[in-house]
Amino acid sequence: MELVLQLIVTGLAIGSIYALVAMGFALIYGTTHHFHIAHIGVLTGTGYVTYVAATVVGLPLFVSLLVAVAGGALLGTLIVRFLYTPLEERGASHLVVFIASLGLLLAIENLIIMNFGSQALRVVTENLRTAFLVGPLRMTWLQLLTILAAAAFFASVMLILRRTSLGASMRAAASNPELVEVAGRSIRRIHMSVYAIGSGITAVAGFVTTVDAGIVPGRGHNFFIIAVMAVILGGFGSVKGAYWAALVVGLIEALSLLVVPAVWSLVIVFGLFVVVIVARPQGLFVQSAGVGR
Amino acid sequence: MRGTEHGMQGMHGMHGMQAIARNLKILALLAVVALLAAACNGDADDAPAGDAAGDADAAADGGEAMDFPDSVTIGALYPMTGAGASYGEWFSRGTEMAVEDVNAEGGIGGQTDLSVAIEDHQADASLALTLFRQFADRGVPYVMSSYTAPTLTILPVAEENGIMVVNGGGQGSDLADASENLLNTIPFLDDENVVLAEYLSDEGIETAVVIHVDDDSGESALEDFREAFEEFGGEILGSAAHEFGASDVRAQLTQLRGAGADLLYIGSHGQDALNIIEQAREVGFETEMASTSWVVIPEVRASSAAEGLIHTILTYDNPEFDERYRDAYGDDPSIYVTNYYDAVIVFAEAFRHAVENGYGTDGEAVRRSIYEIAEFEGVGGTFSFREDGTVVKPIGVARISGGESEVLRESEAE
Repeated sequence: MELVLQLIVTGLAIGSIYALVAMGFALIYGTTHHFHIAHIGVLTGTGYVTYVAATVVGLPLFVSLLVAVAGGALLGTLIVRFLYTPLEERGASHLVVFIASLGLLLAIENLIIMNFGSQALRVVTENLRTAFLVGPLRMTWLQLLTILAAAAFFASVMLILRRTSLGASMRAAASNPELVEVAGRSIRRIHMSVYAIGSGITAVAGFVTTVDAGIVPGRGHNFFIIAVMAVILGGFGSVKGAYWAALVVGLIEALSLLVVPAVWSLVIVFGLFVVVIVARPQGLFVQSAGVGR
Repeated sequence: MRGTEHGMQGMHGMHGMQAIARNLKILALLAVVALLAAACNGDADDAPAGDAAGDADAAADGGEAMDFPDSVTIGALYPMTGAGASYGEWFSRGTEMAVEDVNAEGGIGGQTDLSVAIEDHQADASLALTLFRQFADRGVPYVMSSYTAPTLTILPVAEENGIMVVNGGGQGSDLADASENLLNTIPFLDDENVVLAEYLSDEGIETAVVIHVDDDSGESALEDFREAFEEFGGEILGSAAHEFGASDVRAQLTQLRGAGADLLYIGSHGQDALNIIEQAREVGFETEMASTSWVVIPEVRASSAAEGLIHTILTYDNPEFDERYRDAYGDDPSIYVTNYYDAVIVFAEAFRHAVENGYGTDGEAVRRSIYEIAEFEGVGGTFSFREDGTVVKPIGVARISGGESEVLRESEAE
C-alpha cells in the first residue's frame, strides 16, 4: 500500500507538469484555434530563461521563477502579435498558422543550440530537491511546488474564464470572433492576453524541468506530446478537461509500473488515448469541447 | 586543411553549426536529387573527389610499396548533442589530439595529411546508419564509432563497403565478435562487471536491484552484471528500464527501493545516470550505488548525491599526456579521450603499413594491416586486440569522494 501511495505522489507531480503545459495549450487552442506547436519552444525557452536568471545572473530561485513566467508571457505575446496575427489579417488559414508555428519552433530550437549548446544545463539547488516525509511518504519541495502551482493556476484560469470580463471575452472570441469585434472588443488584444496567460503557465513547467533534470533543446517535445494527448482526452480546448486529464495521465504513467514494465507505461497512455478518441471524442471530463467548459 | 574539420570551432559554435548543417542537408539532398536526375543523361567521366580511397585497388594484393597519398580523411560518429554530448566532447578531443600529433610529424609516413570528419549521431542508431552511408559514399576507409546500438547498426554496411570500424565508447557485450570489420579500443561491460562483482562480493554486498536504459547497452549492462554478480554469490532482486533521455525515473526507483536490496546498480550513462543518482537519493535510496566506468562524467562527479558511488575505472598512467590535455582543455582527461586517441593511432599505423607494403589504401588494406601489426603503442602503453575484436586493457574499482574518483583496487591487463 505504501508503494501505491508513493507512486500516486510521483504520478501527481509528473502529471502536474503535464497539466501546466496542457492548460496553456488548451487555453490558447480553445480561444484562438491555433495549433500552437511553438508552445514547445516557449516551454524550452523559459527553461533557458530560468537557467540564465538563476545560474548566470545569480538571482534567487523564486525570483528566477517570476522572471521565467514573465519571459514566457512576453514570448507568447510577441509570437501572436508579430507572427500569427499578421498572417491571419492577410487571410491565412489555420494550416498556414500551424506551418508558421512549426517554422518558429525550429528557429527557436536552433537559436538555443547556437547560444547554449546541446548539453543539459542545470540549476544546482539542494533546497528544492530535498525530500521530506509525510507519514511514510517522501516528497521533494519541488514536487510539492509543482502540484500546488498547477492547482493554483487551474483555479486562477477557471476564475478568470468564468468570473471576469476578460474571460467572457475569451469565451466569446472562441465561439464567435466576428461578434466580439462588432461589440467593440479587439480580437487582437484578446489573443495577446490569451497567449500571455497560456505561455506564462507553461513557463512554470519550464522552470520545474530545468531545476529538476536540466534543460536541453529537445526536452519539451515529450511533455508537449503528452500534454496534447491530455488536451484531447480532456475535451479539445477545455482547460478544466486538460488539467484533470493530465493528472490522470501522470497517475497512469506511475501506477502502471505495478502491472507492466516502465517502458510500457506510455503505451498504456496511448492505448487509452485511442479508446477515448473512438468512444468519447468530446473528451472525458466535459460534455462538449470549449475553452470555458 | 590539417586536423579535424571541426577543429577551428568552439563546442557551442560547433553544435550550432551542426544543427544548421542538418537543416541545410535537407535542402542539399533535394538539390542532389535534382542533379542526379540531370546527370543520368550525362557522362560519368568526372574523377571521384577527395581522398586516397580512389586509388585503393591498384596494389591490393601487396607487393611493391606505393606512394603515400597527399591526404586521407577518416570518419567519426559521436554524440555531439543530446544526453550523450559529454561523451562526444571527450571523444572528439581525443581524436583531435591524435590527429594533431600525427600531422605534427608530417602526416602518416611523413607525407599523408590526416583529417577527420566528425558527424553527430546523437546516440541514435538510425541517424548513425544514415551518416555512415554518407561516409561509405565518400570512400572513407576507416570510421570511429561510439555507443553500442549505433555501432551494431552500421556494421552490415561496413562489411558491404569494406570499411574498418573502431569503437572506443560503446561497451555493450554484443559488440564482441560482432564483425571482422570491428575493433574496440574500450573494454566491455562484461569484463568491467566481473571486476566490480568481485569487489562487491568482497565487501559483503549480497543483493542488488538494477535500473538501466532501455537499449542494447542497458540490456547488456543488466545481463552482464546479473551474470557476474550471481557468479560471486549475489542475487538480483529486481530491475527496471527507462527511456534514453528520460527526465523523471522516480516511479521506477520507488518500485525498486521497495525490494530492500543492499545495492542499486545503474546500467545507464550520461545525463540519465546523473538523474538516476539524484532522484534515487530523493526517493530514499540510502544503499550503496554502483556502476561501470561510463557513469563517471564531470556532472556526476560534481553532484553531492554521487558521493560514495562505486564504479569501475579504466586506468592508465601517462602524466605527460594528462598535463598536455589539461593545458588544452582545462580539466583531466577520461579514458574516453585516450580510447579515441588510440583509435586514430591504430589507423595511422595501419595506413602506413598498408602503403609501405603495397596493400592499397582502402578499408580492407587497413584491416589487413591492423591484424598484421597486432600490437600498438597508445596513451597507456602497448595494447592489443583479441580475436573477437575486443581490447586488452587494465580495469580497476574506484569510489567517488569529494568530487574525485579514488581508486580502491587496480588490476593488471589480462
